[in-house]
Amino acid sequence: MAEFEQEDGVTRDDLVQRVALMEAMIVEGRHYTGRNAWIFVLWGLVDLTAWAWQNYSPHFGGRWAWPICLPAGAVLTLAGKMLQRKGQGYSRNDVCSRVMSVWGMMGLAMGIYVASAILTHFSWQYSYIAGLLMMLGMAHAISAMLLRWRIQGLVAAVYWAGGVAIFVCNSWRATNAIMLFEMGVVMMLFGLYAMWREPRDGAVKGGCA
Amino acid sequence: MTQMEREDGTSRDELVQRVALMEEMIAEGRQSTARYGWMFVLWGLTYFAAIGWTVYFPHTEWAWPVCIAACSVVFGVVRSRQSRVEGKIDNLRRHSLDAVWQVIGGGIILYLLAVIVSGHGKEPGYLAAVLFFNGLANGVSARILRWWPQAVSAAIWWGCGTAMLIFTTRTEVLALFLMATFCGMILFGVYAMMLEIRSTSGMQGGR
Repeated sequence: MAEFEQEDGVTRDDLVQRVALMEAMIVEGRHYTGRNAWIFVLWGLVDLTAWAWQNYSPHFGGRWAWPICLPAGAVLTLAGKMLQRKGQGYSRNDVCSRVMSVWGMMGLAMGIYVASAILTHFSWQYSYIAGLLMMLGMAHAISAMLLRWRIQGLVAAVYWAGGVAIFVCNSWRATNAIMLFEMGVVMMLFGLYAMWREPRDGAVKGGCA
Repeated sequence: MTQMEREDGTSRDELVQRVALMEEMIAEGRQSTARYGWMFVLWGLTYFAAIGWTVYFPHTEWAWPVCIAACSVVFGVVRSRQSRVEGKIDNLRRHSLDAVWQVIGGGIILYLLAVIVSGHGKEPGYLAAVLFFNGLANGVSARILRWWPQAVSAAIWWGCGTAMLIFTTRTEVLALFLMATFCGMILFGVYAMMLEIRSTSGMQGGR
């Protein structure tokens, strides 16, 4: 056993215990994403609703579609989280906290960015829309690295590819199609996938919400 | 002990152990961010140099590529020397912070490349987006480390990003960019370096 001891006196058993704890935290972290996957589905629906309202009913207050749907989405998300926390006494481990930090900060940054762009009438710029997709891709990529989750890494790559494609295509038609695909289809598909996985991975003790 | 056990079988001792490990990781994470304070200062000075070149010197198209390349070389040399001297610090929190900065750094480079190659560099919105990305990196780090000075840095980046969508002339955009770089990067880096110096001298004094 002595050969496994480092200069600082950490034994092999300590290391094994730490690794096991970290691995358990990573599994719980994925479980956490699965339990909150409904948020991806909700935001996919919110984006699709706003998009459809703006494009198919432009005379029925179409310019208010995003300013109404986005705050409504935020309120529904907060209400859903509160209900979820009230319903089950789930704990939260270190990896869950970090994943939550990433998504919480992304939500805050995105909220300020979108509100500023709408209020200052900058939301028509390609760089603004590509910036949204890049930011979402960043959150997915960090989360994927924390949870060592390939599927989420793939989702991040799809978001980044969408951001680059907006610049390359340089047309409103293409931008609309990319946004519809990324914000509606990709977000909802990932949410549904994570929800589908959750009961399978959810056998972990002490999941988190 | 039974009453201290939760439904999932986690005992009090296990919880205490977990909390101790987390606290240790937070302290290590803050210390290593302070140790890397010079990186913030270096990148802040690089931004200043590149912008100074674009305003006062000819061949402005080379300003950013040359400054970023020079900074990357200095960064690589100092970083490799530092890790050789100190050895590799590796814990879960350090890994998380690395993930945050690597992903956001990579994302910013990809975004800027797409902007430059596609010729969208004249839209003021892209610089605002870059400030928001920087704020995101600082914000996530601040929450992971529970460190309010870094949260202030994030707020500065986001505040300047928002202001950039309101004040859109070239001079205003440059001034906001420089202000965000100076306060959110250079000042924060100097603060982190001061913390590191203080903790190092404290450790030496304690010996």
